[in-house]
Amino acid sequence: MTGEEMGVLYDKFSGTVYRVALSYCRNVQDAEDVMQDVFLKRFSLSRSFPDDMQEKAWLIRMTVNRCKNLLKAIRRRNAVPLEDAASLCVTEEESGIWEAVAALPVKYRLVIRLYYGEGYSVKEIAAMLRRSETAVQTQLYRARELLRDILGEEVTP
Amino acid sequence: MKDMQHYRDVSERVVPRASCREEILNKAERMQPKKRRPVMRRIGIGLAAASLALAGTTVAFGAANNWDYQQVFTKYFSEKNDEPVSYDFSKIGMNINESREFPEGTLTVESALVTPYAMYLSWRFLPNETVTVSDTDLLWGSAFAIGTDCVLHSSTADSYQSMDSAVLDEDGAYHFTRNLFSIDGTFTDNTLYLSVNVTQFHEDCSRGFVVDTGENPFVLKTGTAHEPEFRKVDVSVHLTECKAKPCDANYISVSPLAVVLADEGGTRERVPGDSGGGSKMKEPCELTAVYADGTELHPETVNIHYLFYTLNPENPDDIKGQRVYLFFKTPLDTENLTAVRINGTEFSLK
Repeated sequence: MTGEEMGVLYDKFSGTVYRVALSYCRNVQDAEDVMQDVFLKRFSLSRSFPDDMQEKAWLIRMTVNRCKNLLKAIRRRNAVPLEDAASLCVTEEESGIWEAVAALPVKYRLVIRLYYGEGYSVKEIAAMLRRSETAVQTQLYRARELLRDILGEEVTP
Repeated sequence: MKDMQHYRDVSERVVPRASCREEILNKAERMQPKKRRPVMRRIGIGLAAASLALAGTTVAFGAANNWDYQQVFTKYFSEKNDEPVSYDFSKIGMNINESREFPEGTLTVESALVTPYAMYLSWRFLPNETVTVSDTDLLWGSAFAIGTDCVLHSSTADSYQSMDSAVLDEDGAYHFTRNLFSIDGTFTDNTLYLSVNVTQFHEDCSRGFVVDTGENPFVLKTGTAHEPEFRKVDVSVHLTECKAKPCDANYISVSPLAVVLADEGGTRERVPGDSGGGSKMKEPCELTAVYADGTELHPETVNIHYLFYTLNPENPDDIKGQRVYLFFKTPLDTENLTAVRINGTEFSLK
């Protein structure tokens, strides 16, 4: 893969990879480490994908795996607020819902990230995370319930 | 009522630092020459040497892609006194050469080999596109594991299993062996019982990819093992350079995957801190296989496993012997091996 090809690939998918990693790790430094790891791994492969959707799904799957490994390996850490990301919120509604999502357990954060943030369907998330569709639906339902508890009001899609 | 659109709005503003792009691309650029297919390169060198040794002819690099334990293993399984030996693995969940689909990929039991001291099961794993195997795990031999219910035993020996390094073939498949050692003697009656009921294959963060055997693996008789006459040479050697503790050995034996230093006979007290099974290697141990035609095979790394065993069930500290296994990643042609060299000391196998 040439440097130019790497750059194109990075520009296309870095936002998604970074946001998924950040959502999982809740820590900017870890998210950057994971993103670097994922892209270096991708660049080292000669494999090509039939389309961008499949490549993106592969990168997300890789990102989740790396996050799991990272967090498990270093056995850390309690919730670290997403100060950097939270500072991007410009309205009270935005910061409220952003912080509420960040406070969710990781399995719920992840499905919220993929469903609302990346626009994947339940079926696609199930395939990507190797969970059943029912499990993903349940997690989404439970995540919304938790958000409602945290925010004190219902959330709409 | 809160709207998730707010979440989407913030998400769109969350992007990595601009400098990340340069950092990652620069690192990728720097790593590219050696990072690109690093495992392949290692395999290529190892296999080229192994193939050369096995075939006794010059082998084109392309042949190095054909990683095949079976060419070595099968001959120890298929014949005994010119009579074919049948191995029935049908009840272990998978037949030899049978593949099974898992969400992570396709797993195949490729072959198996029984020696007086160990059984090697050879596996092939072709991952699905979404699965990646860590290079670090590969290097440290922790990419693949077999669940704790996998037990090999005979009427005379219990077993211990070790991890082994895996290698990546050009077709994207990983080849790895699981080594099961007898820990209280040898598999002298040649009748082995193996319980491996592969029910799940999954990724585990701390153990790599794990072949799980289910809660109730069954035990069955696999057949009569062909115990090959591996080379065994009496020596008197005291090695101190390649590991934490000195190692005495009174014989060396070689099998297709390992050189075994063994100290058997007599009884000794267990030294505090000694325990069988783990690798105690502190520094690289230089190991070379020397063939009759002068070819030398150097393993990329020497994977050492210690095994202390006792024949006294009343007192497990009453150590009867110890074995040190030094593994090659590529099969050895034991028939044409004339010597092994360990840290510069050559031991003739003639």
